[in-house]
Amino acid sequence: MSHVLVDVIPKALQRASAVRVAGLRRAYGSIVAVDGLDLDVRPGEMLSVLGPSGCGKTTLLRLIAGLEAPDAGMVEIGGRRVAGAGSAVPPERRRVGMVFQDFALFPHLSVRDNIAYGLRADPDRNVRVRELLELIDLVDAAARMPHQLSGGMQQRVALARALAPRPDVVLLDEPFSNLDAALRTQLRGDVREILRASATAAVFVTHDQDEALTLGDRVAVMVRGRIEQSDPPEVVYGEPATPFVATFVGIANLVRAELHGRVAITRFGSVRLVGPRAESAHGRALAVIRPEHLDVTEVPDGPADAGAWRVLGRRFTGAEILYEVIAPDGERLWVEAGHAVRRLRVGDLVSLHLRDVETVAFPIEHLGSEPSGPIGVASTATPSSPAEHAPPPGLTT
Amino acid sequence: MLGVESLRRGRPGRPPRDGGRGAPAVTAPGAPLPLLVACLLIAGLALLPVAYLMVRAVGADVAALDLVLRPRTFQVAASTVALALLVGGGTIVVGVPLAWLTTRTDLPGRRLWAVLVAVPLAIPSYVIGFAFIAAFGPRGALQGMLAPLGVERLPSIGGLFGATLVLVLAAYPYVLLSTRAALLQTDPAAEEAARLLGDRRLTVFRRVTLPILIPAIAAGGLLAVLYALADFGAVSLLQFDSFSRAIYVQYRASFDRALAAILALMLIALTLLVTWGEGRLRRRAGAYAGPVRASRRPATVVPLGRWRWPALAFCSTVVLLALAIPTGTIAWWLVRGVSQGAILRFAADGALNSFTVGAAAAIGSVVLVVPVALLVARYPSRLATIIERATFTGYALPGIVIALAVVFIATSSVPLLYQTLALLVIAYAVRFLPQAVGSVRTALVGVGPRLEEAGRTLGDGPVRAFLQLTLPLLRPALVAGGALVFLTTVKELPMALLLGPIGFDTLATEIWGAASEGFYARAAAPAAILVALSAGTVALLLRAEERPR
Amino acid sequence: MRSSFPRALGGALAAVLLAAACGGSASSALPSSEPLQTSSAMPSTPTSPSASPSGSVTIYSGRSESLVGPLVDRFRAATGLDVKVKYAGTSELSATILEEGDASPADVFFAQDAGALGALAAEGRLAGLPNATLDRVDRRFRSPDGVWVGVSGRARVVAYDTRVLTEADLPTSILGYTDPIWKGRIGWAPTNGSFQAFVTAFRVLRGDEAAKAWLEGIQANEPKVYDGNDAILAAIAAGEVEVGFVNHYYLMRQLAEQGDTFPVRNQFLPNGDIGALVNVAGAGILTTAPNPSAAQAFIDYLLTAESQEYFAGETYEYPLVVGVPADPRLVPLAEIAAPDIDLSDLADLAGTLRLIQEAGVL
Repeated sequence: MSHVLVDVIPKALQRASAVRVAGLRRAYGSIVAVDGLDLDVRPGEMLSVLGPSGCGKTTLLRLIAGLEAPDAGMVEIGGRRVAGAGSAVPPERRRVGMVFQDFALFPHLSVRDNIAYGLRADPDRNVRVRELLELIDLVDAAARMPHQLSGGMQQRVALARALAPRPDVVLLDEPFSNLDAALRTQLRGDVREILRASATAAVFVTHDQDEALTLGDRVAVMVRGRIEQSDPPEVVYGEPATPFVATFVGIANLVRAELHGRVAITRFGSVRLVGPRAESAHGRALAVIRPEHLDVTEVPDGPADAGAWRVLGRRFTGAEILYEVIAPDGERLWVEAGHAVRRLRVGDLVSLHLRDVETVAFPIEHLGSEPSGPIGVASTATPSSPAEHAPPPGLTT
Repeated sequence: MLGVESLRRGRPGRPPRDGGRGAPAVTAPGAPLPLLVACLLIAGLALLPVAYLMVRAVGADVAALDLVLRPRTFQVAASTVALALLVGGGTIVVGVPLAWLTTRTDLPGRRLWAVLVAVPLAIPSYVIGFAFIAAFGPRGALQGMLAPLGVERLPSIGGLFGATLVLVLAAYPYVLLSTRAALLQTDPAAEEAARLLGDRRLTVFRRVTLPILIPAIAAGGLLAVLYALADFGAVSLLQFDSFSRAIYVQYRASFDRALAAILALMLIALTLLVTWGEGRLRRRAGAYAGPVRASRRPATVVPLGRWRWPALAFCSTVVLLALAIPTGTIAWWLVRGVSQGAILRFAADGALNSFTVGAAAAIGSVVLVVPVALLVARYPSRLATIIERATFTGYALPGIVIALAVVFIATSSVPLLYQTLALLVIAYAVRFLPQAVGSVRTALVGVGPRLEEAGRTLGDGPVRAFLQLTLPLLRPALVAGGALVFLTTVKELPMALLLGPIGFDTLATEIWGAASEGFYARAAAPAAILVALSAGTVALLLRAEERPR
Repeated sequence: MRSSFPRALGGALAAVLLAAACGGSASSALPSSEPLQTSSAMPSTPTSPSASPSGSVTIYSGRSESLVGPLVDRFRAATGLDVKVKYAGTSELSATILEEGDASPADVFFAQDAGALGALAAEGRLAGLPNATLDRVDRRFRSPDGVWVGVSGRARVVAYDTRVLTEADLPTSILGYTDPIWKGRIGWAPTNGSFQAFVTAFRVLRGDEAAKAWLEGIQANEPKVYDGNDAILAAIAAGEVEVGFVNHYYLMRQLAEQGDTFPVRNQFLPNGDIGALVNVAGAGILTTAPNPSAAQAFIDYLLTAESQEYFAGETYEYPLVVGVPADPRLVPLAEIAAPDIDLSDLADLAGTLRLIQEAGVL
């Protein structure tokens, strides 16, 4: 399960986008769900839209599908304008497939009839249904009714149903949120393969960063109705465009730094900067220091070293252990230690050393105001299964 | 258990039974004894009229049996079946589109229409019948308008056609209300999925929405058909020989209670057949009858476009026939009466009595319905099904039969209760119980037992957990069920006449007293109050329905 | 209400379950096979009109409140009795009294027609009335057994359209309407109690076969079926039918309301024809009456000249007490050549209904 970031961006860019969205806006009263959003999905590409709950992800999908009408902006599917500037193609003529959060299988139809639903006019309907049943490996369950299926089976039927009429793009709304953890992991692989096999472009929204990083050829991070960054997963992780992206995708310590061109000076020493933002900027900044960027060394018992950090808490994740540590000046950080390091206890003193890594930093004046409170990980960041992150070389043992 | 439950998504509240396919158990597995006992007692109460009818039927002599078995009886049976089928079909054809138009579309004035099309529930079938004869009879108002064109007489509106028309107009709100409730509760995602798969809206309605609505339509249709079976007012005015009229004729013309009892038992047999049919439909559909949807995303509003005009015409026609003509007739009686110098008596007593007895019966029904619905929803079994069906037996019997059964039972066993308000209220509560069963059962299936289980882990006893946690969530369903009982109670006549305390006038008895002597003007005031009181109740009912659970 | 409801429910439950368990015995307790009393044998419930009644009296009235109410008010004022009246349909009330059995709270049954009284009498539920009461009314209009007395009378007539017919065009017997020349011209109301009483009289006087033959004969003329007498009159006025079989006073009401231009008149069939039957509304005292003396007082009150004039004036019915005149526009009761029949025999409505049904009319 720990592969994943292997795929390269497919032979994109040669044809029209599968989906193109520009300046899209949709408000419900005073609440702006989608706020001038731009997005581009290439043919055959799988794009994950990652964002916290309530950021407008589902509305985005519904706007693309035509289940809602935008207030402004436009949507193109397969190069054809379907919404905006006077055109409003109804959902049934958009050639869009959708997998709903709770699957929305037709409760009165069997598995076979659910899949065949969109194939009314297709003379080869039976062949196509058979093909899809094989694809989702549910040939034996064809006659069953939806309520007789497990959650995972319902999921696959919903996907097959959406794929049956060979849509230009498949939209998946939190497709795994209703499934338990083990099933989720397995189905991610299944869904990815099924979509690959059908060579259909897909957009799926999720609030789960693992899901987004695992499944997407690209990950679009969405917050407050806009896309903050849209890049391949390793770029989103390695070169986050904003502090929000840094802290929302993976765990990031935002550490005060002084910029000197392509180098940032932090309390741990200097670190090289990468990415388009690595200009010859100067001044105060926040540098992204991931837990795996720091080496942890235990400080032997004795008089406390002035630079030593004290262990506040520990989080065991399987592949490694995360420690929350606090400096004498009150700054808190998350650091990572492999199993090679002796298990630390709360209260132990450690010293931290920056590895030879590259990272990004955000000039403070660009952020509007200096973040208040202790700088560190986003409070919501929960390293649910760091094992699925792509560990930077050198940390794995 | 939990793992299995989580796989059976869409059916919380139902313990798995034999992998979902086997026959339900005969007894209720795990049903608490007190609940079972309470339900058996309620079923026993509901079955008392049947016991009475059997006692009476045994008294029939052989010649009477010959009379019952002659071809004419079968003709009456056939007429009744035809009426039931036509009314069932008609109420669905009228009620389902109205429910859809008033919940899912941009019909101009949608909220107003929602109230207007539900109000006819408040109008007794005999008033609609009167109004129709006055308006469309061979020499009715319509003929008067057409007279200058040389139309001297219109074809009779009596018989099967007239009876069907009037009963459809009187009973379609049952289908409308249950379908509306279902439309407001179903998850629109399935419909959205269907559209994305290439269906236009109307096709989606036919292929997805309608099949999902089947249990609700069947439940409303059941009430409508049973209403038609029990109705005497319309069939007698419109000269149509149904079982209910045949039963009345036995009492009226021959004082033959034995024969009437035999006919009534035949009517019960027909009722059982109808409830069985509905049960089958519901069971088949019930396998997928989902719970109240989790996400309360409002369904997208369907723009009607140029279909707006036919839709408005449809709503207007229904409102004209079911509401405007009957209330117009009442108003005309009033005006004509006043212009001829009739003195209007404002029926303050009658209104107060109607309200009291209606409210008490509604509360009584709601109290009785909770255990029955609980048993059916939580502990499905053959016994539970039988108990539920048992509560329906009295519902399709004409009021006179129930009234006489109660007279007999009360005078012979509880003379102290005879001709008391309490007895009248109990009789109403039991008779109209079926109107509350459907909504409460559906709501209970939707709520599921999880909350109570949570309460139990937090130290509540089973009763307290139910009262504290589940009951408040059932409130809209209880209000809706109670409102239906209230509406039917205030317009009920024979039981009010025979079982009420002496001198106990209700609006219905006042209307009857005046109208039976031809004093229509005097009947108009209580009739107007009845319609107004009931219209208020309908508004309450609609609000209860739209309130999110 | 709320607090007493469960208790009441509990009591009812216990009781009704008990009743269901022993329903058979309860029904056999009804006095159904008691032999009929005759007027020669003195009534079992002695009533003494001279004793001044007190307490309360319960009347089951099959006649409407608008009609009976004012009388009851006057009676209440005159006697100081607590008078309670239950108003409902006559047949519903008679069925109720039968179901109530010995527990019936009713003292007096005031019925719209003699048939319902006969049905109660046949079940032995009516007590004998004193001769002083019975004798105020012609013996044609009271129970020969002395258990009920007529209060007001109504005659069967043939109503006809004066625009197309004169009285001379009409048959002099109701039997004449089976002639095919009347095809499609007749209106009747076979579910109506008065009509059924007439058919019963037919059976009593001419036998079931003749009655059935007449019914079939009319049926063959494709008569229009109406719900009641008013509907028939209105249909004649509207030209739907030309003649109708009705009671006499409906026309009087129409004339009062619409004036003499109303194009319908009554024909009283001559020569003691069955078609000229005079039926009555009457009253009787129940054997189970809790307050028979008060019941007696009420019946006597109905037979006072004052009450009789009230009926004549309000309803255009015939007053039955000798010496009280009817509406001057009516053929006097004494001149109606009504068939000679014991109205008690009209109790066999069951047989009539069967006959009507056998004839294919209902």
